[in-house]
Amino acid sequence: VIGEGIDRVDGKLKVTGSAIYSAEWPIARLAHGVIVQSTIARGELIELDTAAAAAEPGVLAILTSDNTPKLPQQGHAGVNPPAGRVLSLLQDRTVRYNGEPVALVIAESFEQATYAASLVRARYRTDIPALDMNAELARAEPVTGKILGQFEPASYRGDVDAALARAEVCVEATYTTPLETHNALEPHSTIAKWDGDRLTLYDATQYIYGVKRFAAKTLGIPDDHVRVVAKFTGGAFGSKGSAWSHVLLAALAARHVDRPVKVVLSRKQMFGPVGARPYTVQTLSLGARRDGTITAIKQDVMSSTPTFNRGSGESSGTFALESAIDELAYAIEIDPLEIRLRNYADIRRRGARRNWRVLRRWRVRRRTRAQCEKPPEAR
Amino acid sequence: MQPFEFITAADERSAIDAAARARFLAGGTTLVDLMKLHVERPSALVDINRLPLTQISELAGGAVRVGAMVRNSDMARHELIRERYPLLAEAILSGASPQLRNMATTAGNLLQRTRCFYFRDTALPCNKREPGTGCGAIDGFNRIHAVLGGSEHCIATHPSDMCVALAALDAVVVVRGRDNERAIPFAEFHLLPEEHPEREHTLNADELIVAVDIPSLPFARRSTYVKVRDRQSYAFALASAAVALDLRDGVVHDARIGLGGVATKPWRSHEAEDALKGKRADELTYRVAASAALSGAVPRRHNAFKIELARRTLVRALTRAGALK
Repeated sequence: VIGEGIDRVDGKLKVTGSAIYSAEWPIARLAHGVIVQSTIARGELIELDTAAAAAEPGVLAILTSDNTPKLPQQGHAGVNPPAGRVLSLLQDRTVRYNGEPVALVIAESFEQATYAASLVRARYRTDIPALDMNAELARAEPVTGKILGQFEPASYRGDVDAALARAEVCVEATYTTPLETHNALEPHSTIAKWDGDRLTLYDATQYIYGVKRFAAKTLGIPDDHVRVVAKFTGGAFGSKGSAWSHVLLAALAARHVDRPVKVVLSRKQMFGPVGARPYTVQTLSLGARRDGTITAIKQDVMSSTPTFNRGSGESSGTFALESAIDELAYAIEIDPLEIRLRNYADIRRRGARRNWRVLRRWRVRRRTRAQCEKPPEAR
Repeated sequence: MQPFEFITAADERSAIDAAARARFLAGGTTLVDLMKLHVERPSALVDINRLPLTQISELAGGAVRVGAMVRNSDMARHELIRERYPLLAEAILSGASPQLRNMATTAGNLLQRTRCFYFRDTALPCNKREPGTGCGAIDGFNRIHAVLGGSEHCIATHPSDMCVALAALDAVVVVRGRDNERAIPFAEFHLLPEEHPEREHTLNADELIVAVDIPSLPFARRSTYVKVRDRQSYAFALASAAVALDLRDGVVHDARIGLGGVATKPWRSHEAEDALKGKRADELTYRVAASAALSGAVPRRHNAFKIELARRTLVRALTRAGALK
């Protein structure tokens, strides 16, 4: 089998268009929900004028904080801080971020709902938003509890400050990574359908059991009253590991109009209300001997509120760590690959040797390049 | 999308008759997108896709006439365009994606709207979209905005690549109204934003673009288009340069220079052309010309880099054109 092409089990279904994605289930009497978003980043909704939207043909209802049923714990029942996200389920009039859902227009067709949503007019009391993480750090408090009940928010081994003080060579550098939005080809989408007190969610998710439990808790109904269906997922990058606001809004809307309701986020709505890989500021301090042996690593990370994404924490963190190791290599004039091999401490060392020929080819190329480049001054 | 009336024009006459109350729909690659964003809200569209304005032909005297409904792909691949105006073919092929170029038309390209973030988001102020609401970009995020031709009311760039080459080529826009036909020189077709950024061109409400004429310019065989952008395909220019050089014994006898990505309209730089004429075709000359081209540039908070980038883009384009056989 090795070396031979294998057809993907779902390959034919996908390339022929016969795979059914979550927004594509043929459901009778389906209505369409379109989210209206805030246009300010922080404040209070003073007035939401829905009269023009409600008068449009095909409009069935408009959910706002005035007519949305109050949920247990203001809709926070399923939230597991600090990793869990507080959703925007029209429980109050507070605006916490730009693009936050402030209403849901439900209509016979997607086009009618989209147009009616554009007619909803909001008036706000605007507060000054916190837009600069660095400026807010002075007022920030560290997370001390275990994340998701499992992970320590910080880890220590040995006495890093003492090791840095003793090190023959020190490198310190600060790296920033921008907020990176995950944008799968298939946008977030949900069809919610009630049969009596039982809810079926056809949801674009990577985690059907998570959505089931989260939806049940949030709505205050038993777990086994919720069924989540996701036959195919059109890309996710981790973004579909959580249930976002639209999932519960679809459920609330379906109950409100007593019909199945579909909510599909527009491409524009994929930026903002559905999380992202966080903005980070990372300060790296490395201590080493002149021969390249690393004796101390200190990685101090500040991050905006993260959500699940591909390689959560690892992608941003590895970028900073590996960049600092490169700086260290230049500082002591050792090939960047060599310094890694000298510090290679994995139990699978033999595996690394098997790859030695590949690595050597890579190293030759690095050296050729290095001859043309003047190494930067050691810091 | 706002509900609208849809009219299909069987011929030019009926299209022009409908023009006063409807917007022309050609390829739809700008208009339909902006209607979905509620930026464009026409009450009626008149579909002109059946009009037979799809020919590219040679006129007396060596000029080339391109029909208004010629698709960008067809124009870029046409023998007359490829051979006589390489800068134009290259400019078109550097823009958008194959699918978009297969739909987008010559006339539509002239009328495409800016990619300014503030223009495209109805929650934000924009003097171009809603006159008098202010400009979000001047004190906002303006990395992609213009350093040339801006005003205190608008610094949005014209996004076209094709138009940059047409500006360099002194193209002529042929338009027809109810009772008249007129020819608008390219430099007079697009307007600077000045006090009225909502006015982008000099076309009257009842006029239909029927063709673009490209005058004969034998030295345009030595020409090229260089486009610099955040990624190598399917992105708008941060800076671009369309150049044609008439070299005689290593000296620049004549030159045409257009700049894109940095200006509020397709930008012709006569300053750079004058700086080149009579000078040796070498790097020093090109640098002097590039400095002349950007001498009037006004940087904003995030787009100052465009001034040096545009200079280098122009030097690269001149160097490339100068080396052509």
